Amino acid sequence: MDITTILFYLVTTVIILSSVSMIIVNNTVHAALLLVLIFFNSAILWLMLQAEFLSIILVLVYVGAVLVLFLFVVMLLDLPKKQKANQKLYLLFSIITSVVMFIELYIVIFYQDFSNSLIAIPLPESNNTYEIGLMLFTDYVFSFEVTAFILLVAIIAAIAINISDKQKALRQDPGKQVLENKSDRLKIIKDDDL
Amino acid sequence: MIINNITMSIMYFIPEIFLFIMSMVILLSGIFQISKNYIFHLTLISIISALIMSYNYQVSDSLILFGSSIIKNSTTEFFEYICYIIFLIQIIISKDYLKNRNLLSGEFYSLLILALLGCFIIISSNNLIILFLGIELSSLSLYSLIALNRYSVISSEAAIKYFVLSIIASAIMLFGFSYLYGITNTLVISDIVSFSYSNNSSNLYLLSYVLIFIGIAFKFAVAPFHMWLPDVYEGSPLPVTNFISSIPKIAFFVIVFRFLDDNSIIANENFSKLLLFLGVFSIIVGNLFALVQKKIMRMLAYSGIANSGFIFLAFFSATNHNFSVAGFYVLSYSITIVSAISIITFLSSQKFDLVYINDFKGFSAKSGYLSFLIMITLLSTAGIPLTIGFYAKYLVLDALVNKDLVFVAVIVVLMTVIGLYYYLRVIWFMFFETNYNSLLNISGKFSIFVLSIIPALILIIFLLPDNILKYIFYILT
Repeated sequence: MDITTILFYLVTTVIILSSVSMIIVNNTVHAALLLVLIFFNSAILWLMLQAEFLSIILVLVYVGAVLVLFLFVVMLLDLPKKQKANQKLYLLFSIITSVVMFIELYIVIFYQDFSNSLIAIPLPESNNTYEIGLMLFTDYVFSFEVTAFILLVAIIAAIAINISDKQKALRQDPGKQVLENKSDRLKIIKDDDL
Repeated sequence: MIINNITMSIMYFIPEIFLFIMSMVILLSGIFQISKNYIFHLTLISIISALIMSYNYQVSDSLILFGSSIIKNSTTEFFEYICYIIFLIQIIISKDYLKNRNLLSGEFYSLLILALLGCFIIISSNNLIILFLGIELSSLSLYSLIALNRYSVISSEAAIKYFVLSIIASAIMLFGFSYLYGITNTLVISDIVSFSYSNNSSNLYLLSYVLIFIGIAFKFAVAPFHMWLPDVYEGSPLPVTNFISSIPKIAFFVIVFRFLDDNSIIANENFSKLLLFLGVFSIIVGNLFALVQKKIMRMLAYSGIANSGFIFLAFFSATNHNFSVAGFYVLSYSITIVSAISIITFLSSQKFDLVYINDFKGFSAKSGYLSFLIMITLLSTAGIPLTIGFYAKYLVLDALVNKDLVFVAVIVVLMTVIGLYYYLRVIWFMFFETNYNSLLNISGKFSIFVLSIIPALILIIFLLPDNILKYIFYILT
């Protein structure tokens, strides 16, 4: 066993353990910090595949931007602690389902011969970042543009759901008060209308 | 013909690009508060002009654009036209409904057009990445459209449920895609389909297909994956329900066709058993649960689950790669459900929401013509002769009997007969009860004309179903 194999198993063990504990843990801040751990370890996995640009982007974007924002939201919302009641039944079912699924996948994947799908990664002529940029804007330009659409939809949705068209705070508008007249407020209903 | 040049590819992709630009224009035009109607007219004009454009840019043979990302041929164009027409009907009917609920805004129509665009990308995708992005584009727009009605608790609940469950389904589907890429070493769907697997790789190929079909079954709302559908139907604004019930189903039919056509996996015993089980289970669950519903939209949701089961049975029985039965079923069900939900949208155009089935009581005394239209659509969903729904169900049952599955066919027929009860109950309420609800809206001559198009089609196609079936067969081969 050489050093990279040991490192791979170490990193993947940390990823699996921290993913499981992120779901189980009760404190939201702890969960977010465990997510940081997962991202760092995934970045190490990318580095071992010689994709240094992607690993740095993962750390910068997810840990640097997304998770910091997430931690701010958690702090500002001041969420109440999760209720522990009534979870045992769900836990039992989820453990049974996941064990069955794990065994199935393990059996299928363990006997799979991946040898014909192994291809040597062509070494980039210039640097990694340049090659990724070239691929994104030539072969995968349409996927790139559709991804931009999806981000746009997310922005539109976030703003449209949160925009407030109603004046929530109660305040007086003198202009409206002056213009108000009797017929707006009072309506006389006679008996034979009913 | 493969076109790798980006500028040349754009030339063949103009209708979709136009739709995208118009969705942005509509979004921005919401800033000006002149009157709400002009947003609606702008949407109508842009959809009609996109339809005309895609008719003008019709391709003669199969085109592959943007470096194997997008495929354009007569199949994709036929289904896109159907989507355009259904979308037009939905938009025209829903105008007053949206206006009276303060939902008629630039962002609503813009998100609706983006959801339509996502469905078009699904229909014409030739690549697993594009397929996944198309699914995400359409469903992300739909989550936010449901949540736009944010003063309603029930809408927020529906949006959250749809969001969480749909994301799990997408993750499972993506898991299947990743294994498929691992085995076949390609992202192009036609190469994946024609991949000749050796014995020891067939298991993983099968597993990844099962994972993908779990995702597709979720989108069709087939029985074990149907939990989201009744809540979404009940909670979302009716025009959005109208969209969810029809257009994504057509798009996913095209994807299933693309994945299973010319693929030996459909003859695989285990895989076809999965389709059969999902179909039968879904028909049983859908029909039995619909019996006890008190709300009309929940009832239609469970009837939709039962009909999705029929679609899966049609996939199962597509021997010799003949998907025309499934295509006919999807088209007939989509136009029928669009007609039903459009009529309900029209009836609740004023402030009153038609929620309970009881609200139909004595409706024929108020408007005999509209209750006749409702009757035709419901009978078509149930599968009674003289409607297109009967012929579609007959084709599926015929294919099942041809496969020597008489027992399954008997179960399916029994469940359909049980299902008749809840359709006939609505018709009974309309024609044989008194005390009509005076809050239902029946005014609007143009809308009534538009509403009568689909019931007329339902009756006409029953007279000449073979021509339509032959045309779909021709389109799909």
